Amino acid sequence: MSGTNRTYRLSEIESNQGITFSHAAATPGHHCPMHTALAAMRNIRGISSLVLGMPECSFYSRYVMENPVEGTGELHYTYVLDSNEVVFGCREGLIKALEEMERDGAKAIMVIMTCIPALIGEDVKEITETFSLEHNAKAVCIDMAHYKRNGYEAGYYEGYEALGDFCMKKELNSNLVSILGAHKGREGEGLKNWLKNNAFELLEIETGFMLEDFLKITSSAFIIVTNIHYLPLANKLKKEYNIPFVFLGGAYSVSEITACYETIKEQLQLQELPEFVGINELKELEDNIKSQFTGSRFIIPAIIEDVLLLTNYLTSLSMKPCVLHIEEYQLWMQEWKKSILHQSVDPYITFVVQQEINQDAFEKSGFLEEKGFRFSIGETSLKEVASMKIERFFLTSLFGYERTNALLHSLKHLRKEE
Amino acid sequence: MPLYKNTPQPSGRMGVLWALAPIFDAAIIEYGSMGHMIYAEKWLAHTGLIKRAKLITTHLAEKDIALGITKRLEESVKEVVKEKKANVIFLIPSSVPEMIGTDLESIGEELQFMYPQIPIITFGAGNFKATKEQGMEEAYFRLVKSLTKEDDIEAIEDTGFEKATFNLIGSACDWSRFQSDTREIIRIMEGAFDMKSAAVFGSSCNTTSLYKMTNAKVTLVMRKDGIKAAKQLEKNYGIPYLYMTPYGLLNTITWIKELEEILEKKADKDYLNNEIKETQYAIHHCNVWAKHKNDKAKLWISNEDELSLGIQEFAKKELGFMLATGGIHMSDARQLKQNPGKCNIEVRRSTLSYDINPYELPFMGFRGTMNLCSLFTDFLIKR
Repeated sequence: MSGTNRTYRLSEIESNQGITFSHAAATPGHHCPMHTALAAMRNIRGISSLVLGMPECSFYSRYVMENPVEGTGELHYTYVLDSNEVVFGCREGLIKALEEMERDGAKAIMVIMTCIPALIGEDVKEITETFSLEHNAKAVCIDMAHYKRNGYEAGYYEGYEALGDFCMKKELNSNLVSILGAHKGREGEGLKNWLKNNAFELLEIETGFMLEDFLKITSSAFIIVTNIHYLPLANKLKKEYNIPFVFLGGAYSVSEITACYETIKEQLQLQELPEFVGINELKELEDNIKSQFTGSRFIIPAIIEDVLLLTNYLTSLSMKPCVLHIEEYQLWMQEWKKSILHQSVDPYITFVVQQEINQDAFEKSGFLEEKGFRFSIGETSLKEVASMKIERFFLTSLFGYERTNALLHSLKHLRKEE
Repeated sequence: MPLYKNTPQPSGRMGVLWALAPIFDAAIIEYGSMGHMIYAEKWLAHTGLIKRAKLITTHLAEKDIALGITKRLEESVKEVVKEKKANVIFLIPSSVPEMIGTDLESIGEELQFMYPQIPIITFGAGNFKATKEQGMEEAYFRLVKSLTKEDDIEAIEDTGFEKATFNLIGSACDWSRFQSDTREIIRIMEGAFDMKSAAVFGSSCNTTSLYKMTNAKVTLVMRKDGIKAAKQLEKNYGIPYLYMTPYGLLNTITWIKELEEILEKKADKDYLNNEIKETQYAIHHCNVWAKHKNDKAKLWISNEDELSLGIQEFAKKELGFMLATGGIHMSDARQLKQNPGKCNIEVRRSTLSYDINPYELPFMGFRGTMNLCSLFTDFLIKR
């Protein structure tokens, strides 16, 4: 490879630091997690933001935060460390800035720390904690220093997780079920109707919600997570408030999805499962795909947020993963890694920074050998390889049987095109 | 306290990058965290620069920082050279390596030694105080110092030139219509003095044109960021420079007169008369309306730079406008959003700018004057 290090296999990856670039020269590279953290915060009414860093971070972050003051009163300011603060720290200035934001009307402030304050070792978490103790406004800090990882998914994981710091213990409402993540489509409606028909109240948290509503989450009896971005938050709420959850968004196979619904049924003491149309057909389709794709090989050069879960599922259908782009690898993803390795495959892991996976990974993984069916999830320049064109977010508005159905039909279509 | 409620000022590092990016056969390599470059790419993609330098970032990890490993940078340069991705490589500073004291200059020298077939130029202005203007000044100056070596000159002189040439250190991509302004200056120089452009800094150009800078008869400097580079050319190659920004008719005529003296050559009379006549037509109409609607003829323009002072002088002296808020406001789109006038004209670029047409009408020169008159008149005649 032309990068700085050799390409590692999944079994060798223990953290983001072990994922090497596909090419030395990233052109022009990927966004930093500050970008996605801001994108997440932008859609939450009641949360103000303060980007803490250099002019580059502050100036360009205005691409995400177009208005310094939103119509509903949220403030989106930036704090640029001056040359003295780069050396001596920014504690005093930052506290004054937070006080000024409070005076301007901010009640909940997310301080987004970028590379330089992280590098100088400024303890921004302590600063926000001290500020919050002495003021009515509450500030929370997230460390989004890009040099600590390759990609930008941490902006979502840690951004949403930090919302938990604004929460307080509330009395349990045994009728309240929270849904974290998108829950559109027929199945989303089906899930909601099932719960509503059983007299449950729903707290629906997906892109675009109010902090005030979100804070009710600590009184939930149960949480259903449909998107991986909210998984760290659900774990935090379980740890700190003992709220059980199920990660429905992590289930791809029919049996896993059914198990998730069984968990919901048991936790909420429901009499029966909802009736989703076409589960039997989906089982059949799953079997068909398995027989059609046995021995096939695939690569994933695109950004798929739950790439390990997807890979695990495809591998269970007898497809062999060769090379994967992993935007973010966190310790809590370890169980998915183990599950993939348990199926006797060990794909190469890379961080694609140009148009294509590098030659080294292609060759080592054996993907270039012209035997059997090969496909790519995401575009590839290899003309003889069937490729599934995907958007920025891959099937993320769907979950459960409906998502798997869409995925398997796309695979079927891919095979037909061949 | 460096709290910004609005967009903060760009850094020197950003100034360097913005000044270099129009050199479309260059590769700009930033040794630093990756997020900056993709934003820079977005900024540049919205400038109307259809062809621009290849932006490359190495990214870095905690281990690179802790141990001072610069292998990513070396590998990136190697990849660009090996795959012949560019004719020149620019190494630009970024905040993390500046913080840890990476000696980019020395690394650049070593890399140049390893790859003598391609110029590798290292830029400064990476510190935590440098302004955008200092960054741009550094970029132009370093280009002049680095791309004027004797062997390069000989190579260019062989090809020869039919017409006399000029260098232009013009407006850059932080100003709206920077490409149109550049084109207008080139048009006037061709029409008035039958001269062609050699090196063009700040707007679309390539290394071949930059190598021609030492053959030029004059360097035209539109912004003070370019003075240092122009002085270097004057000192080493005896090329005189003119620092003046031609906004408005009177200013444009004065600028041409100054050039006549420097070049010891009269501008083409017919061309000049025709341009003046056309521009006076537009000024006359605008002037009439400014008198008629003198309560509306108010202009406010942000900052105090060549663009601001030039347009203010023109509006006041030639059109009879009052310099006050509440009428026409000229600034960047963000400021105009917060401080709107009755008529808002974007003259500076911000993250809200989305310019896809490099052929929009200019603000400088004869046609720029006509354009301004037209925009102002449109507002004045509106009921």
